[in-house]
Amino acid sequence: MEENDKLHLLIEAYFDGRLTAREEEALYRHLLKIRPATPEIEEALAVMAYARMESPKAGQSSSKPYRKGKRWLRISQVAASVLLAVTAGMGLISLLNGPAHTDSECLAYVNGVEVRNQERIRALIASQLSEMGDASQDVAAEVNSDLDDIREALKFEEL
Amino acid sequence: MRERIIIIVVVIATSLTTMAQENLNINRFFGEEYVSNPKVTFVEVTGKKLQGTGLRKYKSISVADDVALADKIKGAVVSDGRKARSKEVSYKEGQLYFGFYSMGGEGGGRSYIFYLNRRPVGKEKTTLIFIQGDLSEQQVKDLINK
Repeated sequence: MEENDKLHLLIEAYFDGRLTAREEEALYRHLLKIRPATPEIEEALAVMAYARMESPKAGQSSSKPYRKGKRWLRISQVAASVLLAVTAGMGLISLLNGPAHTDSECLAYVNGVEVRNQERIRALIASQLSEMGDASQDVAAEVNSDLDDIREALKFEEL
Repeated sequence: MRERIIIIVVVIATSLTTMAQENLNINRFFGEEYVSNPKVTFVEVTGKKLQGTGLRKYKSISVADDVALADKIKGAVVSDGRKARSKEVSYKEGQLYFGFYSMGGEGGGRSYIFYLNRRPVGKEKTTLIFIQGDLSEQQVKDLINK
């Protein structure tokens, strides 16, 4: 069997919780030596490193296989790692694409010219909200008008 | 250990939900790319300046006589509107005229979009408002009907 296939099986066994602590330790040390590491090896190393950090028994020799229930833990760890990476990625994208302003701002640009006068900005906001209010009332009026038409039509049918 | 993993997953999932809300198509119109456009009126108020209003963010862009940009905004609004939890939209002359979209979120992360396209009534002007804050739909509607 190819070396890579053996590694693949061992990594799979690790994620399934079928390795003893001693075997896991040996696998970890072996994987650390492999360069360049494949994404699968990187992932296994990341999870192993995390598990070693979290477990007070990490690195201790034992010939007892891990309890079966540990598989969900591995899956959770991988899921948490993936989510963490996605979160970090999205945060970075948001940082790169988002507005350059800080979290506390009050500014406006009117026809390309910066406005810092807060009264003027308040007036702009009030004007915009008022326009939305007018449009919303137009919509409400149209809905009422449509409903009136339907009521009229129903009355006509009753006659 | 199990509890810790669950907490990590829950925290990350919550963060992802919040980011997903932030990750709206309309957000690109609130960047610096458009502020210097002479056909644009841009407003951004965030943080302490909104204390007492229940709002956390108020962002708006109003575009006059720029058909291409107005159409881009309309496309983004329509696209985000598909993800809205609830919406009130009105069409005139076969075009989206007014839209109020509740984008969901929790607490201060609740997000709303207002859109008004005056093209169907003969005026080439589009206004887009993004609001985020701890306000119910009704409270947001009250803001525009004062």
